[in-house]
Amino acid sequence: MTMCNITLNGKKTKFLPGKTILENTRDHGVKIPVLCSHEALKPYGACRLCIVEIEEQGRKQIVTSCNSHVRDGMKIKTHSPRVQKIRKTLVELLLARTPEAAVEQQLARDIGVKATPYPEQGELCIMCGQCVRTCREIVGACALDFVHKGSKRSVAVPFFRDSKECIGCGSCVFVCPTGVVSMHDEISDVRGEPERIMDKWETRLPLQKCSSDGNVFATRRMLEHFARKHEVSEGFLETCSHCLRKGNTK
Amino acid sequence: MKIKKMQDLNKLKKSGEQQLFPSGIKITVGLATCGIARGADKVHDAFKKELQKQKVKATVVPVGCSGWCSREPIVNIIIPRMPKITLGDVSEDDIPGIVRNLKNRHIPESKILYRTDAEENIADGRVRKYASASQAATSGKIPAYGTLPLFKKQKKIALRNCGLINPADIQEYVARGGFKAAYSAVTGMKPEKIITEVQRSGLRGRGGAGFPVGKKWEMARQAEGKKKYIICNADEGDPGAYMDRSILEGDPFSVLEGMIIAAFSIGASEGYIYVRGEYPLAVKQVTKAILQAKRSGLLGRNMFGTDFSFNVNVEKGAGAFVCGEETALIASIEGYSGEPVPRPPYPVEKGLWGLPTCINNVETLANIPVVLSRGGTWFSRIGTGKSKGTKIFSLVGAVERVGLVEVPMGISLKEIVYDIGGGIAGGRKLKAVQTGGPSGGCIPKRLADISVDYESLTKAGSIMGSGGMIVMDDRTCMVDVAKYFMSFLKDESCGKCLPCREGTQAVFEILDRITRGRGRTKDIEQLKDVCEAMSQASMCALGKTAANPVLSTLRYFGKEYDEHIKKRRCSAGVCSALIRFSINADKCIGCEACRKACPCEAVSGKPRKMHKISVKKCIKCRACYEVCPVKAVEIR
Ligand SMILES: Cc1cc2nc3c(=O)[nH]c(=O)nc-3n(C[C@H](O)[C@H](O)[C@H](O)COP(=O)(O)O)c2cc1C
Ligand code: SF4
Ligand code: FES
Repeated sequence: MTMCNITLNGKKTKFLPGKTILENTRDHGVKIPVLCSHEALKPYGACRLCIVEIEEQGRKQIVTSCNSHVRDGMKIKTHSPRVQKIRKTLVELLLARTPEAAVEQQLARDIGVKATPYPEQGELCIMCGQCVRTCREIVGACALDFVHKGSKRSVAVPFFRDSKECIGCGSCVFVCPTGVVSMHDEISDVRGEPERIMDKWETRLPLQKCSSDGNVFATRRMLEHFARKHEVSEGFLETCSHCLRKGNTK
Repeated sequence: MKIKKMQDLNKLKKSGEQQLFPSGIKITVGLATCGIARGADKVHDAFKKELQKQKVKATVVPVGCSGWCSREPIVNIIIPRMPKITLGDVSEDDIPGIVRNLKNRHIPESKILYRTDAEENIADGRVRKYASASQAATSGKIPAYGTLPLFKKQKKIALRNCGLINPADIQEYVARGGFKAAYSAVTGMKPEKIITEVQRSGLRGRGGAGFPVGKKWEMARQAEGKKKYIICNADEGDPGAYMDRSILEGDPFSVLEGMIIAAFSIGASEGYIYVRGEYPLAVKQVTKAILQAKRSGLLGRNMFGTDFSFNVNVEKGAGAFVCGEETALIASIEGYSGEPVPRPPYPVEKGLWGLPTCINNVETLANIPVVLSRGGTWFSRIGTGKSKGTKIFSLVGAVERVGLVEVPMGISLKEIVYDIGGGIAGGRKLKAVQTGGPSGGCIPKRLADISVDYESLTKAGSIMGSGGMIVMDDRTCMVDVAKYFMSFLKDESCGKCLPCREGTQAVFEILDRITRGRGRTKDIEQLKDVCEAMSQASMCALGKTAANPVLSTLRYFGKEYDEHIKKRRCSAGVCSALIRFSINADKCIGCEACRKACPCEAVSGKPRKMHKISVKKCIKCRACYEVCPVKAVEIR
């Protein structure tokens, strides 16, 4: 593949044309702050922290590096004074929204922001959209989406109640950088059966007992979902991976 | 009948002309939303009833908005061999009298606004007379259409048929030269040739960004895809703006014809009109128009007997401002929530369902048939060097004549406000003009000579936008204005990207603080920082332009911000936390009007004695201020 000739922060270098600016700079060891980007997900371009200044044919422009591709002859500045100033304002604004979020505090420290001058709102979610996108792009359940506009925007399941789409796989819990999405397993008061509760999504799902060792290991709906998705027999997924590995299938 | 040949179109034209210039008496009532809001539907029905009752033979026809919205309901009376007479402020009670006089071919003068002796049809440049010069002369004192200051400086291209034709009757549109351009284009022109003609005209998109239409079409033509789409953007979310609504309600066929020509040029086979759900009448009119066009073979398979097929669907939006942004609009049609996605890829490459899609505004499309029928060169002679043609503005606010005006680009702001708009209402003074909708800017009085075109407005810190124009008098507080627009934008931000979501909220809170007298000196610096971050780093143009109302008021009215912050004063007398009401002893006549009007007994005083306002009890509701007959109540 022919490489692109790039000037990165004043130094001449070569970039891979098929990759984004962010991926290329990472390969070159240059660190650009990001919040919404995740290597397993499509670029989303919402946090805008990854902005860089590019110059082409004398035209300067600020673009987000996570979803911009490289072109031959591009001059890229990842930390120009202009970029730094805007990035600082963005971090201050987000710090005002989520003063308690650890990722945000770390980011502020990295960038040298001590406190936010803007009124604090005490939210927990940083609106990176990773849970929504994981659920849609990776899991394929499409159980989550954004609701409301502007600063009232939040993530929810349809109509804010027990979701039929949520399969209780816990990917959202895993991917959330703030820890605001959580789940726990318990024995249902009503049915006396083990259940998984997706705390933020107000959804309860029955858990499956392993056909071999009798321990609960996943929600039934998740097993059905993946059996359908990967076209395996449902019975195959009735045994936990632990027992499967040992060959203890029934 | 399906239109296949020019003769078919001419036949339709003939019968349409008979309706436009009938042999009997004809009455038209402006039944666009602006008319209905002022009771025009009742006037329309009353005419029908009264004509029957008094046994007078005349047809009553609904038409669109003719532009003078503050004088609605507007009624036109066409009596053969007489100038057309336009009446304003017509009420139900006037109808029996008008009908009685009709019997003697007489129209009572009291409600007459103007007369029309002849009409130019901009689509072909031909003039059609209602009455001969000598007959017109007998109309005496009634001013003629072209001589009225409101209309003199206007040039109606996109609004050419609004208020003249029955929007629900395809024949009348054809009678005004309609579908001739589409016919010639589809049957006789190469797509590339049409695009060249549009490029020659210099027409730029009227939806806000002002992107050259010919260039967009060329890109869409060259884009590859198994199917292509054309979308008409009729989302019109700017508060106070109703240009596109008027076109759709008053002349929906012009938009359809524009879409047909666009579709043929870029190679699209399907079109969408994305219209906001709050425009029920517009939705009804375009839906009707599509049905009629289909029946006449002006939409559908093998149009005009060629192998070109094209269909149009109507899609209703749910009223989010951001859905006017093209990528959000596409998401909305696809059934997702209306949120922008990063561009590139642009819709012309990858749009609706991932296929090449050309999006144009209503007004842009309504211009297209005239561009083709009169030629690009003709069109490019109107306007300035880089801004060609005309632009519709909804002229609202503190101006004498509120309404919809279409002016050639390059006209001065002053001419629009003073000549066309009749100056500031109530004899007050002009302070600023806000152009470009919520993300536009405020142009101060001292720049009133500015030429209204894309470049000049942008240079002055505002934008052309889609054509909102709000005139503000000396009682307007500019900090309050900025706060108002920011409050709109923060609610309408989709919330996807950080700078716009948090930025509009933060700016609103700072402005709110300032108007409440809790501003701090460093607030100005903070406003500028957030504005820079929003305009440089937002994902879509909503956030990118959201700073304009703040930056332009800071630029021209910085002193007012200082006054609010440092002196805790609002000299326009708007910000209630910063003002005090008092009674001027020299003026007060002790009439008690204010004492009676005050809802919280803050005013004291005996009859014929000087009255006083208790600062403690006053809630600053302005009731006394509005009611005082001698203007003795003062705001400080
Ligand atoms: C927040 C936002 C709102 C918009 N609203 C409208 C609208 O209501 N109508 C419109 O025609 N264009 C609107 N636009 C502009 C469109 O994105 C697009 O540029 C336009 O429809 C293209 O048509 P044109 O080239 O004919 O102007 C809006 C843009 C933004 C960013
Ligand atoms: S700029 Fe505003 S409206 Fe546009 S994507 Fe960002 S948050 Fe949404
Ligand atoms: S990482 Fe690029 S916008 Fe969030």
